[in-house]
Amino acid sequence: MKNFLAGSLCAIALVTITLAISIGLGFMDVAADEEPSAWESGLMTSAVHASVRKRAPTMHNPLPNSDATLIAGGRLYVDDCVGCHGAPGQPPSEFGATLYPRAPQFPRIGSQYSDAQIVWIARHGIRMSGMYPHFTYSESQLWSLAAFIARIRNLPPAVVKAIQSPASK
Amino acid sequence: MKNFVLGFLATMVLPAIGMFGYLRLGAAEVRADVEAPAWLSNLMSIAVHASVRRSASEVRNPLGHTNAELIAGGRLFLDGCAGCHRSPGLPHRVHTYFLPPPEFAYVGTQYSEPELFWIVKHGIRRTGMAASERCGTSQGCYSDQQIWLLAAFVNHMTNLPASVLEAIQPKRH
Repeated sequence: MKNFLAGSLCAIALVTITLAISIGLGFMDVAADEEPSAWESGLMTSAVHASVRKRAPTMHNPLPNSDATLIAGGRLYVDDCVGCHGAPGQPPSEFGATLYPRAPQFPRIGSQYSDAQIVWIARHGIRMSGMYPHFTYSESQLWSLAAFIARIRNLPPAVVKAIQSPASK
Repeated sequence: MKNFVLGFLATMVLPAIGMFGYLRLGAAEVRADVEAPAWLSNLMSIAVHASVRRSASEVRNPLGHTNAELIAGGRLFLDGCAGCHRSPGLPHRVHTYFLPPPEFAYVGTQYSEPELFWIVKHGIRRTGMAASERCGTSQGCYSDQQIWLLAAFVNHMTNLPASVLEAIQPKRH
């Protein structure tokens, strides 16, 4: 038992010293232009998913399931999200690819979150990523945004047209 | 000896399993608008500072710091950085969220110009700081000279000559 404890203390000391050296002397790589490793992306993405599932409310989108809702959300998206997440029908956002982790390109990959989870993420942001919290949107703006993102790969043509018109301000 | 090895291994493996479970079960806080404990923020900034200091070259800014250069850097800053880092002259926002972008006009920076150059080029991972190096072809990509202009401007942001501030304000039509 005494040896077991000695081994345990040895391990703790080793880990502490290694961490202190790599943090204090700058060996933790912070450059964002390198590709995230597959295990890091996988682990972090699943941690975020699990945490969002656990915390975000489960409820249906209270807005009517209509083109008007999608257009309202689409205009917000075009105003404020395309810079990182990419616009429907356009090449992926270059800026989104300069962040680490890379910003998900919803027009390509869609979203695996529910409307309620998207609302929750947009409002609170995601820690340790470029996704910052959005305090200024009303509840119904966020729901329309969520409806839009949830259907972004499968939008009615009328919606696509409406959000691309220059008069959309 | 066998017990020593067992104790060593158990202490290495158990926390790793615990960490994995913590992450996979969704116990980790992901909300950016919930303030992180001070020790975590401090540890992260120590790690980032140390890493940037180690990685950035010692090359000095090849440009001067004339008003014309500060103005050129300031225009780039307003176009590409102010969205997060705030324009000089606007009131300071105190962000409560985790890893807020520093508002240099108020808090200055503790990085040297070569370090700022490195950060603009390579970004900072797991923050919102983009790596301009990864930018493909179009707008938002900076030449080395432009990055030096930006570095000089940011370094002087708490102490800009009035004429520079005046010159970079967006023109009103």
